[in-house]
Amino acid sequence: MPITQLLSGAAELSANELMRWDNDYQTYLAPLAGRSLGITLLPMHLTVHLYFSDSRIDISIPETLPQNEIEVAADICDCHLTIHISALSEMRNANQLTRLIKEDKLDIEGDLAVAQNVSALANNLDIDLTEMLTHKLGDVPAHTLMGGANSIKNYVAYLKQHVEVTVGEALIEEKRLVASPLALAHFSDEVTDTRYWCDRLTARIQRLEQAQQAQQQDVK
Amino acid sequence: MSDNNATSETQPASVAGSKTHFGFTQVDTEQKESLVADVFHSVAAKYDIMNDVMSMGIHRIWKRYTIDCSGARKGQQILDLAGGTGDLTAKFSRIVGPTGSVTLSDINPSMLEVGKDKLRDMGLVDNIKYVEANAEALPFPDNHFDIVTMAFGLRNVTHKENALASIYRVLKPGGRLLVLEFSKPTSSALEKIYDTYSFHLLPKMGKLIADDEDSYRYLAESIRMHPDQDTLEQMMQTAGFEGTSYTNLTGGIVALHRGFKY
Repeated sequence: MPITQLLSGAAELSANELMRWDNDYQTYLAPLAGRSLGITLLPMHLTVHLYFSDSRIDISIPETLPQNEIEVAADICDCHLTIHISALSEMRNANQLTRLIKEDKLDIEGDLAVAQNVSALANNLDIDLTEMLTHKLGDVPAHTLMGGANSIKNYVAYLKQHVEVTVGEALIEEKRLVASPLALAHFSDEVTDTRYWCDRLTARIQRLEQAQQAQQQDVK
Repeated sequence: MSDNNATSETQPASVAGSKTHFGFTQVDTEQKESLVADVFHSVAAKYDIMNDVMSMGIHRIWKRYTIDCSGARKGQQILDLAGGTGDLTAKFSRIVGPTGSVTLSDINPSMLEVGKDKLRDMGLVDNIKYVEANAEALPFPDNHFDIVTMAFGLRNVTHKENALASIYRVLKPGGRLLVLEFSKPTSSALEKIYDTYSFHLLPKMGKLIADDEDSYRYLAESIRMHPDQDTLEQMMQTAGFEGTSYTNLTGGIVALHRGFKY
């Protein structure tokens, strides 16, 4: 079973289900109806196509075809983004786009309005997960579940912050203790000198031992 | 549908009195079409739910894979042949957009009617045409479609070579054919499990859900009578397709064949 299609199917189902929880979703979709957006994620070179209609999004992950078929992804969609995965989270902030393009983390081909409308759709959707779960599970389980999820989220955020602070402090402290390049060179010279004197001492001991053995043989 | 001026149709190569297979049964060639039609008249209403139950929903993944391999884009002309209840058509309709067009074609009016109702309920009306047509004699002009797909339909066609020739004729140069069809499992262990499932469990599921055991027994038998992967690829090449290839899905239970017209 093609796993890519299973994942894209799941993503499509989730995206459309989630979107419907905002009553105004069709308002945000309207400017995108009939348009398409291609996204190529780097460094994996994974291409995803999003096709918008007035009531849903279709997600397709085009297969690379064998032999004499060359898919020109940019030609298929109205707008095509080639983006480094590390820059994905910065895409929401339109002020960052120029910087991302300069840093070669983002390349845009085609109609920029499509990308802007998709960004607006993602930013404007107001999805109340607690309300969504309340309809499916009931009030108490939904609030318990969301409370638990929030606690986990807060704990993970605290853990992340804690790790960042600890690692930061450790690096600063380590930096203080780390020997300077000059001290390292001096230490290296001293080691070389010590090795030289050790070699000399070894040679001298050997010579003395040989002289002692020669004297003993003469006495005999 | 206005495009019915076919210009160079290959006539079906049936010979009066000749025999062909209908599942494991030998029948008169002329008889097969109406027998297959009866099967699909019978199952049309419950077709979608039976597909989901029989394949445990995996048919949706196979069809999604077919669409992902089609390279469809805005403004194209697509023919969904033997399209039944329009699963592929729905997706293609949204991909080609208002400037493109998808033709849902099926030989069986009951299936076409179910497909039409379903697609209209989904709000898809603007760029879809419905044509009742025999795949062996397509009523479309030469070089008309960018893509032709045939999902789970070819094995029911009496003269497959005529259908492939007809598809080749209506495809534009540069166009591609995608045939999604049951095929031969690649592992003997899987084949045994699959045989047990399709000959024992499938007809009973058909009886239980659609109150139609015989149609689902025919389904299992017709799958076994369908050419295997290599034979079908060879048939496509004989029809003139180039750059042919196939991909086995779910261990070869289903295969997607691709071919191009240059």
